[in-house]
Amino acid sequence: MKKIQYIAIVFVLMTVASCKKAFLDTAPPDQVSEANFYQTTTQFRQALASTYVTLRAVFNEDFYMTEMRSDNTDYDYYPVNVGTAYLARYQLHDWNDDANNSYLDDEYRYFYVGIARCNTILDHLQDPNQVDAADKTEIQGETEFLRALYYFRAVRYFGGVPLSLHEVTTSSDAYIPRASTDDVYKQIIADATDAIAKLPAATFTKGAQTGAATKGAATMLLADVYMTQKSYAAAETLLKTLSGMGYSLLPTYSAVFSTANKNSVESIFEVQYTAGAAGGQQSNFIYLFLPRTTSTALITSNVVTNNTSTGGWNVPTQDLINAYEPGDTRLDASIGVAEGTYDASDNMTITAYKSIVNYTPAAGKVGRAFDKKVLNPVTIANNTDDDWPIYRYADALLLLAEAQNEQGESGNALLNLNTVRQRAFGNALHNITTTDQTTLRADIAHERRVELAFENHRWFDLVRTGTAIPVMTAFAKQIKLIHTYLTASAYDVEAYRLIYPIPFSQTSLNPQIKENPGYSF
Amino acid sequence: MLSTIARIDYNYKEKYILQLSARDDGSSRFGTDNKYGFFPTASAGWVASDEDFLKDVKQINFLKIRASFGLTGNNFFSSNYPSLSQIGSGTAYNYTFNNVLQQGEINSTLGNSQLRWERNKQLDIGFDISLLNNRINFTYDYYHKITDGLIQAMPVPYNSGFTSIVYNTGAIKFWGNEFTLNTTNLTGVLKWTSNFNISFNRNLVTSLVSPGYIVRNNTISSDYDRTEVGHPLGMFYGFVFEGLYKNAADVANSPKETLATAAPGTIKFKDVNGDGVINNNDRTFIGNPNPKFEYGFTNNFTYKHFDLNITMSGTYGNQILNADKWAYLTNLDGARGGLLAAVADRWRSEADPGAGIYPRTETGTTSLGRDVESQWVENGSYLAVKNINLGYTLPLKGNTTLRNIRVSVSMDNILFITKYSGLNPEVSLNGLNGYGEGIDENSYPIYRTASVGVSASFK
Repeated sequence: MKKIQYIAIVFVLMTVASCKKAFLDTAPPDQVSEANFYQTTTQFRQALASTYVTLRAVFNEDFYMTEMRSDNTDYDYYPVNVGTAYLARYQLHDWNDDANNSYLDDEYRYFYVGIARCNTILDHLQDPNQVDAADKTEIQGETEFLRALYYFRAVRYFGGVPLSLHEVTTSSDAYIPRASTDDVYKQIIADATDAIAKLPAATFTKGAQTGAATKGAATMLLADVYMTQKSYAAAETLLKTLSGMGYSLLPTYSAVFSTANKNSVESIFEVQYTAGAAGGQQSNFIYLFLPRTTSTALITSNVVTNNTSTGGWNVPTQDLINAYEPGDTRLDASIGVAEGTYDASDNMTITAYKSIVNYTPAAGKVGRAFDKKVLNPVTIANNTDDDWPIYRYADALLLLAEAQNEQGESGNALLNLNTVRQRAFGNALHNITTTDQTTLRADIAHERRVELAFENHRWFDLVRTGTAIPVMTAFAKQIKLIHTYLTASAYDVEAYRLIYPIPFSQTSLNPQIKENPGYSF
Repeated sequence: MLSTIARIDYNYKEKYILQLSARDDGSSRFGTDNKYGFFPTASAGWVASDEDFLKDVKQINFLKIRASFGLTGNNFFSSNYPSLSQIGSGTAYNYTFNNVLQQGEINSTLGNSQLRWERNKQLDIGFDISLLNNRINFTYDYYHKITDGLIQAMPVPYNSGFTSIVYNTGAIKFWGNEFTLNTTNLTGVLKWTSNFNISFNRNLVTSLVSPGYIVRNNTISSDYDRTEVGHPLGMFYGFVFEGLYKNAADVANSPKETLATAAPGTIKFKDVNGDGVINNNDRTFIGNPNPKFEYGFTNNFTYKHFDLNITMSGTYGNQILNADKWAYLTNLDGARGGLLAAVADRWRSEADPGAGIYPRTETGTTSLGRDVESQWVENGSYLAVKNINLGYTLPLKGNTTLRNIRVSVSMDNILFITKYSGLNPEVSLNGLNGYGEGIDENSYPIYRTASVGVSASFK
């Protein structure tokens, strides 16, 4: 037997810590993570503020899918650059969008960023924390209102969407199929109803609210939901409660859109923006809506902004301009004209800022109408103070008139309709008197179009009242005559296009998500 | 990090070598329930040339056969605590209530409480042999590795509120054969040694979380590659280019894209799924960035006081997606700066179709120029002379302060032999991690460097 000459065994056993469980489970104290957040009222208020922030993302792009989809607005065609980001927006207006559309993808994602933030807050409110009962009720009410608002837009754009109601903590929580449209609406109604119960009515300090969600905002939202479902009696009951909450019309129409009157007695809910050199809180809508130009100065308080890469959107159509009756002060308050000449690159050199009333272009010049509701004095380039209105009291009065007319209460309907008209015309001479339900229905729809122009209601109103297909078919016929650049696929005005395609990114990521019928992928 | 480690080494006459080790690692980077991983390894070696039956074989100087098998864990990834949702703050989280600023803070990442160790199960077998007075040294290795619980950022449906999550996404099998040959060819006044190595590496994705593939990007114009079960990592994915529509009859009789207007002279893609229209579903695997083999060849010569070193390397059988050229330098859909001169040969009319690959420029027809397609895929094989270094060492007999002085000239990237039309066949978008490999997007060109050096060493 061989002699073992050399053996080496090294055996090392390192420490076994007795407290190893706790040692590795401690959340990093130098970083804020979910594990050590959601304790105090301050932290919940911060989380809630960030949930409002998502409204900005949604409404910065919302008009492409509402006003521009409808007969209210158009875009400035820009042959110099027909890149995909331009094409995506053209397609929303031209009714030939598909599931690859980046703006649809954005909007769908923003809804869920907002919804997920709501879910996170609502889940953590149920955990043990240091928030007292009164704060808890209010935070819960505001959060439920926001979740209902996001889902209400999502369901109208995309149909039954995946119904996420709790914070996603594992990947599999996110892989869920679409819910039915009914189930989404049930959830919206449950959230909005609870929000009405939990939220306090608006308080007006020096005539202005804080801009946070209120009982009135939740009431208006739920009434809008009921109108969409044609539950007119339920909507009427809710809408009638608003006058008791301190809302009223401002004396003149133009005052509604002045940044001096933000969150006024007419405002029910608006997306908040604040101009400032620090940045990050401002809006810039007017620059998106003006014609592309190297200087907007003649229109924007002599502050030069070059919007050649951002402007040219949400352009009032002639069809909308024609919808204003003679003597209606809303035309001048809503629409302005940039006058000038176009250069070879289709950018405008603005030479004058004109009124739309009885406008005819000066010799050798062209006039380009724009939404001036978002035009207020500015001091910093591309940085405006304008809020974006979601609901205001005039909208509530017209919805109420509609609900009443649908139930055969034409007398009450006329009262509410004419309240809005009298402010618009400055007298009672233009009051509507018909009691015929069909005529009055058309009158109310027309009134909503001009009263709420550029406020992203037109598209939903057309779809809600079943008039989208006939109205847009007629509109398509007109616009195809004017715009020679339209492709053959433009204005595919078919019923399936009353909802948008689910973004391709989602159907490809989660095969349980089925595309809306009519869209090819 | 908290670890328990045990190890045993056994060595008998330096002929039989055995090593066993095991470790139980806990890392706070992982989810609550999955912080610990157990990783045993074993390796063995046998120096056969010391055995009696080989001792007398003069030609064989050394022969060692070795094998190892083990599990290892990986907890190295980009962020420290991906298992926890982080809270974000700053301007983008703040809101104003009637112009009064309210600080905002809320979850900014999607945590994964189930995140666990990425594990590698690896088997290695190989041998080293030295022949003919150590003038020939040859090494062979075979490896087979299965990585499971692969950790990566994975796209997640938007209804989570987020776009990605750090996740154990699946398993990949890697295997290959590696050969290294070192030879001493000449030993006289002119000395010549060389090193040649070649490796044949393969990989295959064996499982992935639902839906069984990971896309690079949600938009089809940037969705260059796709990692899918049953395929190697990072395969190129896109449309199949079928030329340009020749004429109106060709347009009428062929499948068309639904949005961009098809007209004579616009890009024609293959209707992969045969449904009569061209859309996202007609994309398929169009190329492979993984080489069939990679090799390196180094030669050293010394003659009297001169020394010369030549380094060469290359790959064979890999493809490169030249996004740089097609998305930026030839794309007529929107100005992206300079165009290649070749684009002048674009389609102008049915009678003058040009090169037949650059479409017409009519408005509303050009957006397909941005979509990834088979024409973008090029042969990426290359042979490069990476470096030549020529030196002369001054003879310094009797010098009291200096030991020697060497003067040298060196040049990098002297020659690339390749059919690839882009700037750099060695391009890789995200390094060699398997994702984004072989994608040429805004890559830097190769620079040729010449340097002259003097080195002196003192006594």
